[in-house]
Amino acid sequence: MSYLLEMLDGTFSYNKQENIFEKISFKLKKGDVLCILGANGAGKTTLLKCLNGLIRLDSGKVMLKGIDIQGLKPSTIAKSMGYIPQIHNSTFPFTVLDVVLMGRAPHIDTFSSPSTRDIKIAKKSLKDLKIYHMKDKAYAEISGGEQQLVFIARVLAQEPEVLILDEPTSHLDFGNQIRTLSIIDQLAKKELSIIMSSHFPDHAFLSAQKVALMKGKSLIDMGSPEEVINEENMKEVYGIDVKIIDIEDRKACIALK
Amino acid sequence: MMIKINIQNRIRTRQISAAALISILLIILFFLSFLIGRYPVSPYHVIVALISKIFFMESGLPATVNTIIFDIRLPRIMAAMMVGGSLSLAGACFQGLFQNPLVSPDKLGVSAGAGFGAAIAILLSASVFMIQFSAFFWGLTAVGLTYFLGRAFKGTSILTLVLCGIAIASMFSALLSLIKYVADPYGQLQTIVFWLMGSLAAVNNQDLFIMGIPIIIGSIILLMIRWRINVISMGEEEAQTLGVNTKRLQGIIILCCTIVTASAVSICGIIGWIGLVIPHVGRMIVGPDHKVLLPVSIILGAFFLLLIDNVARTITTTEIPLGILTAIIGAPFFLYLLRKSKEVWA
Repeated sequence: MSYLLEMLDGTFSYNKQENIFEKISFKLKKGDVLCILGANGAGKTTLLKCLNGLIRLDSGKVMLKGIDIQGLKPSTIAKSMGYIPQIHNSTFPFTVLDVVLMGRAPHIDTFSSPSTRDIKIAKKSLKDLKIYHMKDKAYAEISGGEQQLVFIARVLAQEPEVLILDEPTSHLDFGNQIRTLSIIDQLAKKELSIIMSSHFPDHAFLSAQKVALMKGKSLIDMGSPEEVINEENMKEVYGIDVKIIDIEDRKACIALK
Repeated sequence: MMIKINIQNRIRTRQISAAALISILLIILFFLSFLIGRYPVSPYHVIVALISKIFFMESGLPATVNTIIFDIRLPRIMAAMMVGGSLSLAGACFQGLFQNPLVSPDKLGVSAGAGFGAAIAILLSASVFMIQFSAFFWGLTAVGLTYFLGRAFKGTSILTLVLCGIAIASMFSALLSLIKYVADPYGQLQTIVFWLMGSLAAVNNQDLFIMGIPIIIGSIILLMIRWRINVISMGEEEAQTLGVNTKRLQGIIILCCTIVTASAVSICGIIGWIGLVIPHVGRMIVGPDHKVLLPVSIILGAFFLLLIDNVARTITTTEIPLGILTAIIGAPFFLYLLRKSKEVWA
């Protein structure tokens, strides 16, 4: 079984003195959903950026379908890997459709514009997420939850095999958080591999099959949510007491006072 | 639902008709501009002269009329449209690249460099051609310095580049002041000051040809990558996750904008305002999509500068420098638009 995305002994530092993380390794198959948990400043975002080739590892490798991404062009990486950043600042009031069309960029030659086929794909991904009616609105003027959907639509228009989401639920209200997780669930069923970071251990129970805990420059534990999210681990990562309880057909992670 | 779609369509239609209207106005202004000036030329003369030129026929018009139309007015009209269009295009591209609507095409030091280049050539009593060449050369040099300094720092962001541009521009304007200080106040200094205020009075067919080539090549490349500018205007990192080779695209945009601006500035001196403000007018009319915005900006810029230049050469017996008029006429007009289109502004 070949892996879609692997990190082998990844080490990174911003200043070449203090490593943000060291010798991290993990592998991802088709349809896997990996959730990375860790405290603020643990290096989750940095790790995700390295995976996507936005920043370079100091040592170690990121392999995309068995090929080291350092030798790949940005457009080649973007054809297989989509990324939704945590924060987005907009300067110009592009319409929702214009934003989603940008997902086609890796498939469009530098000196060309989107073709009718590209526009069709962008419209289809808007329809898939049930936000087609917003296509002519300025995306800066819609709500945070709707914006998240627009970015998911954009990444779908990109037609990647791996999806990287940096805290996809962090700016959303309770309902939109859960809705986003269920969309992630559906995408995983379409054989997309997903890596996301999160601040909510409970979200891992809802959508992930694999959880990695990031602390002190490395992954201290990795495995199924049921194995990894336990009272000792949560105490170690976040320094708080939690209780893992069974509700209906799932487990939940609840903070004690 | 249906009503909503109709409203959207109506906005689209309004945008398209606005763009078409500006194009028609530009064509009308183009013809009218031949009629303006001290030597009277009739509309009939202009039409006969232009048509016979296009079909390589003898027009049978008096030689004076032909000279006025083709050697005096046409180069000036073409220069005004080319300079206006290219400054506005470069401004729109830079605003997209730097994700900042307050950026003008001279942000990386091209005008400061060109001003210095022209001044030093005037100080050395060089020929008109050498003044133009020196302005062009130093404009490119200033941006080159900015770009390579910006690149030399590790982890270069677009902000570093702008800061380097500010530093380089202020260095060149200090050097320019130094030249003004040592220049002969009754000859060279006046020439330098007039050059800096911008004018199209001295443009001839040869200038137009020499500077037209780089302007047209640079503009065509910018128009070809205009959709990519949308993507890079979302931010460097985001563009990279969308598969854009951002460093290369930045390089292409900066190089083309600089060549286009330096060429424009070297024909007609420094004309502010257009590159900063015309793209905003374009955005008010057609929205932020660079695919439509860039062509519209060119047409608007061409129209605006041609209009201003017509005013500059007719309103008084001596010509008023363009740099002065662009702001005096442009500012109130812009404020009026800003007020009118409050809801479109974002």
